[in-house]
Order: sequence, then structure tokens, then C-alpha cells
Amino acid sequence: MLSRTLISRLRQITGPEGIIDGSEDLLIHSGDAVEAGAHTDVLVSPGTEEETAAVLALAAGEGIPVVPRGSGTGPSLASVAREGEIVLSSARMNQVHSVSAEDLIAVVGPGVKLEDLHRHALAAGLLYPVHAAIDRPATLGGTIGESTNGLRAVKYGGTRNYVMGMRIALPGGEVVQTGARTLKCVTGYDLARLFTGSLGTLGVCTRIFLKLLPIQETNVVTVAIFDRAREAAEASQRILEDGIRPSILELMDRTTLCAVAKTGNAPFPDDAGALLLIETDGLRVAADGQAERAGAICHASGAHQVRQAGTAHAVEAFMNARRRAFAALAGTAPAIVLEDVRVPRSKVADLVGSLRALLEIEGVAMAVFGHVGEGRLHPAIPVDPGDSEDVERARRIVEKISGEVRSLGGQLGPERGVGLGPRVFLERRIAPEKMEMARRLKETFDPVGIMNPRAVL
Amino acid sequence: MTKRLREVEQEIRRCSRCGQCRSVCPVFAESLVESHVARGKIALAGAALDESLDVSRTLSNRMSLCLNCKTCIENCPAEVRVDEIVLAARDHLHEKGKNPFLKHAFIDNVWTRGRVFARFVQTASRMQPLLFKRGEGGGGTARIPLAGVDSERRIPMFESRSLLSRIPEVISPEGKPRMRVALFVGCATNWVYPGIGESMIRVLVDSGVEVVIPRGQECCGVPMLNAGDFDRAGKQMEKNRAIFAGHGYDAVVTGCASCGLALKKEMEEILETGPYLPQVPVYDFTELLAREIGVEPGALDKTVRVTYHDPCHLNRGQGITAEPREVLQSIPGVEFAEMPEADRCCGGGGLFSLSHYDVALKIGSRKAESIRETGAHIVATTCPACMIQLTDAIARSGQDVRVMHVAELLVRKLTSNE
Repeated sequence: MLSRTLISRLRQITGPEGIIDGSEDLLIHSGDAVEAGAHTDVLVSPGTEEETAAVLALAAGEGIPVVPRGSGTGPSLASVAREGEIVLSSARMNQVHSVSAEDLIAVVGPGVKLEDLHRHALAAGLLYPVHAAIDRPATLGGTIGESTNGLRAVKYGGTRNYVMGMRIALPGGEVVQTGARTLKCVTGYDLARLFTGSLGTLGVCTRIFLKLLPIQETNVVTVAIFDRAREAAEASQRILEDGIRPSILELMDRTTLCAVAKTGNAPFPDDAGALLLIETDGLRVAADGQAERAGAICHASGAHQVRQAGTAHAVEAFMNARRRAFAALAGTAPAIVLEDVRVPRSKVADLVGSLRALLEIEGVAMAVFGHVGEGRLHPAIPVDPGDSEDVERARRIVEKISGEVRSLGGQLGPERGVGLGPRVFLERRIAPEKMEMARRLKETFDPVGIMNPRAVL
Repeated sequence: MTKRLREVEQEIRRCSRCGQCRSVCPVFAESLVESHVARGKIALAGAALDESLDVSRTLSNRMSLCLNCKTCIENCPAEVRVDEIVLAARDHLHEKGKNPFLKHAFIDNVWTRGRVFARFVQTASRMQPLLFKRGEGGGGTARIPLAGVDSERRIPMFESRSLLSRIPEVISPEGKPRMRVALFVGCATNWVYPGIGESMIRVLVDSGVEVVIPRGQECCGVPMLNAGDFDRAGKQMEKNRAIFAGHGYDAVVTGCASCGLALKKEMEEILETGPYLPQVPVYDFTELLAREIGVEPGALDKTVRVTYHDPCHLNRGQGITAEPREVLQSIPGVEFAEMPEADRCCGGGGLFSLSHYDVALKIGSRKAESIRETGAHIVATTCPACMIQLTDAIARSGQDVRVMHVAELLVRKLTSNE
């Protein structure tokens, strides 16, 4: 437990408005979208870079772990804190400093929400193409820590492709700037990209320089309904092989669709076996033409219904259905193990096929959804943590998935889950020699080892 | 453990902590404190349920930081009924004696006792002019420093004679009535804005409708429900049921969004005691006009730009957004201008602004800026509680904008200086 003296020293740094130390308020500030977290002692929310650096210097001096936190809407457990740790929130560093249409650059604080950056960029006729799948309120700091790809990565790439530079407060209290406001800046190591995806284990960004794009003339959303998920996955492969560049290419299988339908108005038929959500964008003529070709490919691949969402309302209904997939599935079982499976794009139909087969063998209502265009899917396995047989079965399924994925030349990302408490399937998914390199790298930035020590890369 | 908190346990468990509510909650937008947003309050309710957190006054404060605007529910992927959870938690806190004593003392001894409440308001209406100066555009500001009252705040000024005491119980049109409706008045219309009631009656009677205004009707019970006193809320419902049962009518109409929501479904859903007023449909005033009666309002003296504020309990509560706009746009002389985020909560939240004026003020100032963007001279709405908040927010923003109920605008002859 942190001492009152330490908390009052933190209060001196940020002022009372930057400190939360009541048990009622800390309860939710210690968890994320996956785990509730234990009671922590203090949340500190600096208002400036200087305050952030001072907090880190104090924590390093005292050897107290610091868990950086955006909006706590991620599923990776990276912002889950424990007793004796300082939760460092970016909530008050939420200024959009500038959006430049001339330089195609936005400069923002880490606490700015994705939806706010989208709005500011749009007002300047610009686009920040990272759209997190489930969380509009995600912060830029959080998406950098997680290296979020989101829904449009199939065409635009993820956060990593847009971070041009940042200012970072290091654990000792030093502040460094990496990268720049220019589109090319490769003098020395590309530290900004090293920090992207580091889950707050190296330091805390205090200001972020992001690349923006000119806005596209139009977006066309097409929805194809299939009987089987494998057919939908095959169609997605053919769409990409045909040279079409969809900006969204997402799959939801029957189990996912049923869960979504249970949470409210579903914009798809009750008996849909799988749904492919396709967005094409660009000049009107190109977006329409590609949408038409993608639709024809879906028909040829077995889709029994293909239609374009004609109104903004219809587009939102389908996007919302996809966005709420994870939360809807979480509501169907006491706990959910959510895997993040990546295979080469050409193998994604095989992956879907083997996941479906596994589902039939094990007789479990596993759902499959995700970024099929990137070759990246989320199998979601329902588990009752109180039933040891159930947990054992889930573990068996994860092992089988892992085997299938490796045989297809892919890999498993960090495991995620809902309602499980401590991870039950914790396993190192990074090769030992790579872990050793990562450890040495971390030591360089964080010699005392205070930065998010339990985050699993 | 309070029964009602246990009853919402399943609802509490349905929250997957995805945090979508963070991007829409008007209270959270001002404080950025997680325990002020739905996800946080649900976690707190869960902790109170499994007794891992003490039932404290701080917990009561966090639960009171909800406007019941229902924006989180509308944006929740699982449509978790945050309103039911927060109200059940308030009920739990009330049973444990952790809710504000003065508020409940007032509810117990004054608000729920019809005659006592009437005497209280009459006395207050006589005292108010001594302490408060009537302001341009409505309400009054304190003449002298008063403890707990912001010196610039526009306080609603009570009328010395309530609407119910001013008008006969039945008002008939000329000739044979096309229908007979019962008017549910509501506290704010009765005591602060009787003009809304008079306007509604005039429009209805002019349209050939007979209006019955049952004597003895009282507060709908929503303030008690929101305070977590479900028993008193239920008793208010029973009293009103008995009063209305003594009259024959084809429909019930109200000009208050919150009363309307209570009568239509909120009390029934939360108290699980059957329909508030059985057998006949309940309408919002604009809904009745647009769907059933249809009016051809007279022209205003001059063209005036009007914008519309969606009350949460009409929009998200009852799904009514088109009807009030339709009625407004049917008035010759109204130049309608939509404001940005017309459906964003004004920050009033019934008694919310009494306990959390600082937060209400910030939320209200955003609404005032949205109104400013339209260049409108009148902001119309369909909820007297919103009107109290809008009057304050607009006065504080230094704008010369009148706050009116849609009904008032329907019967208004604008004077030349407006």
C-alpha cells in the first residue's frame, strides 16, 4: 500500500485536481474492458508534460510501479493495476494542439479521444484512418500503447503507420523527443515506432505527432450474407486477389450474429450464417465500381444476399453491429477467452474452416469474427470459470487453435479474455531469445523497472 | 441487501466494461472521473451488491451524479439498463440512510403531501420576491448573498396561484367535443409555468377537444423515484390513479416530458406495479397534436427564428423527436433552425441541478452555445424542467433568447420588440 506521504507528494506535483484516491473512484480506474482490477491506492492525472515527468521521477526514485492508463477500454489487460501501484492517467492531457491541412499533421495530447481527433481532422477536410473496432472513446495514447490496427487497417495500415514522432517522459523524469513533424525523419533509430505497441512499458508519451490523409470523396458499404463462414472467408480472399482495395473487410459468423441480434435491432436476417462487411472508398466512381465487383464476387462465392447500405443510417446500423460484437459476446457467457489469431491472408479461409471443425468436435459455442481482410480473426470461447471441466476444455481448444495457426504459417497474438480474473492460459507467445532482447531494451529506458511491470508484450 | 438492487444483478453483470458510455455521458465529459460514468456506476453498484465496498455517503454522491438522460443506454452495445441500476442503487442507499437527509425530509413531509406542498409553494411565492429579483427572460436572481445559492443563478419563481386553482375542472369547446382528454399537469407547470397549461388547454379546446383537469392530482412521483424512494413514488402513482379513475376520458395528455415518461412506462417498468393510468393512451402534448388532432395555428405577428431542444425523457425516453418539430414548423412565421446536438442533455436532470449545480452549469453552458450557433431568438422545448435549466444557462451566457414551451408558442402573439 502506498503511503499517505507519497500521495501528498503526488498531489503537490499535480494539484488536487490531478489526484483520485477515494476507494469509490479508484474501483473502476484500476481495470480495463476485460478485467475489473484490484483496488489501487492512487490515480494521478497530470495536466502537463512537466507534471508527468515529475511523477515518473518520483516513482522511479521510490521504486514504485506505474501503470499508464488511457480510457481503460482496451482488452489487453495493459491498464489493469494492483495495490501498491500508481495509475497514471492521460485524461487531462486531452488537448488537440494543432491540425494542419498544409502539413497533413496533427499534434495531440495522449488523452485525446480517437473520436475527437476524427472530428477535428474532418473539420479540416482530413482523415485519421485508424478506427478502433469497439471503442470510440479510446485515447491516442492508448492506441499507441496497444498499436491499434482497427477496422480500416486492411487498406490504411494501423497506428504504427501514422505515428511520425512523439515527446516521451522517461521513468527517470527525462523528456525526449523522437521523430518530427516532417513526413520523413529517419536519423537514428525510429524510437517513435518502438514506443508504438510498447504498452507503456518504456515511458509515457506526452505529445504525439500524427500523419493525416486527405479525406476520401465517398465510402460505400456493402453487406453480403452467406450460409457458411468459410464461404465468406473465401469471398474475402477472392476480393483481395481481384485487386480490389476495400477499406473495411470484416467477418462475423453465425454465433457472433446471434449474440449481436440478442442485444437489439439487428440489420441482418435471423438465419444469416455469416456476414461479410465490405467498405470501399475513394472517388465516387472508384468506390462504386469496386463495391459492385466485390458484390459480384460474393454472389459467385455463394452469398445469397448482397446489398449496399444506401443511407447513413443503414451504414451506421452495420458498423454498430460490428462494433458491438465483442461486448455482445461477452454478455452470452460468464467469461470469454478472446484470441487474436493472425495467418497469411491466403490461409484465412482454411483457418475459418479448421476453427469451425474444432467447434463441432468440441461442441462449444465458439464465435469467430474479425478482420478477415488482414488475415486476422478473433475466436471467442465461452467459459464458466467456476467449472473446472469447462476451463480445461477451453484450454484444450486454445492449444488446438495454436497448433492449427502455426501449421498455417501464422501466430497467436496476446491472449485476451473477459471475466476470467488472472489469465488462465498464460503462455509466452514470444520466442525466448526475443524476450531477452526486449528485456535488455526495457532496461535501457527503464532501469528501475517501474513502467507497467506486469504488461505482457 | 435491498431486494431491488438484487433484482438488477443480471443487468449489472451484462455490462462488459467496453467503455462506450465514456464518449457520450454529459456528466463524465465535464469531470473525466470514471466513477461518474455508467461503467463506473455499474461497477460501484456491483461492489455494493457483493458488499465489497462500504455503503458510504461518497457512494451516494457518485450515484447521484446521474441525470437519468439515458444517453448511455442508447449508446450501449448491450443496451444495459443503466437507469434501472442507478435507481436501484439509490433505493439501496436510501434504505441504508445514506442519501441526503434534507432532500428526503422534504419529499416525506412536504412534496408528497398535496396540501402541505401547496401551502409551502404559496409561502415561497410570497417570500421569493423579497429575496430574488425577477430577471429578463424568466426566473430570478438573489438580491442578497444566500448560502448555497450562486449569485448569478436564475432560480425558478413560483406563482402564488397554481394552475389547478385557476381553472375549472372541465373546459368544453363550442359544439360537440371530438374527444375528451384528461390533462396531467405536473409540478413545474402547476407552480412555475401555469402559462404552459393554459396554452395547452386553449389549443385543445380551440381544436374541439374537451379537457378535464382532475382536481387533487399531485406530483407524478418521478422526483421520488429518482431520489431512490420507490415507496413514495409508488404512493404518488396510486394517489393519481385514484383521482383520474373518477373521470371519463379518451386519452391523457401532458406537457411535461418527464411526467409523460413516468405515465407511459418508467414507473411501470421500475416499480412493476402495472400501468400508471390503465386503459387509455397517454400522449405528449405535441404527439397528440401531430398524430391525433392536427392544428392549424395562427400566424405569428412577425417572422422569428426558433430552435428546439429535445428533452431526454421525450426523445430517448419516449422516442418522440419529429412531432414537436412538426408542430413548430406548422406555425406561420416560425423560421426553424436546428441546433447542433439538439438531443444533448441540458444538464437540468430534475433535482440534479440542486445537488450538483457546478456540473449542471457546465453542461448547460454547452447547450447555450449550441443555441447561440443557430441565431435563434426563441428556444422551444416540451419539458418545463428543461425550461428552468435553459433559462438559467441562457441568461448566464448573456444571450437574448426566450425559452418557451411549444404550447406557448402556438398561442402567442409576438410583441413587436421580439
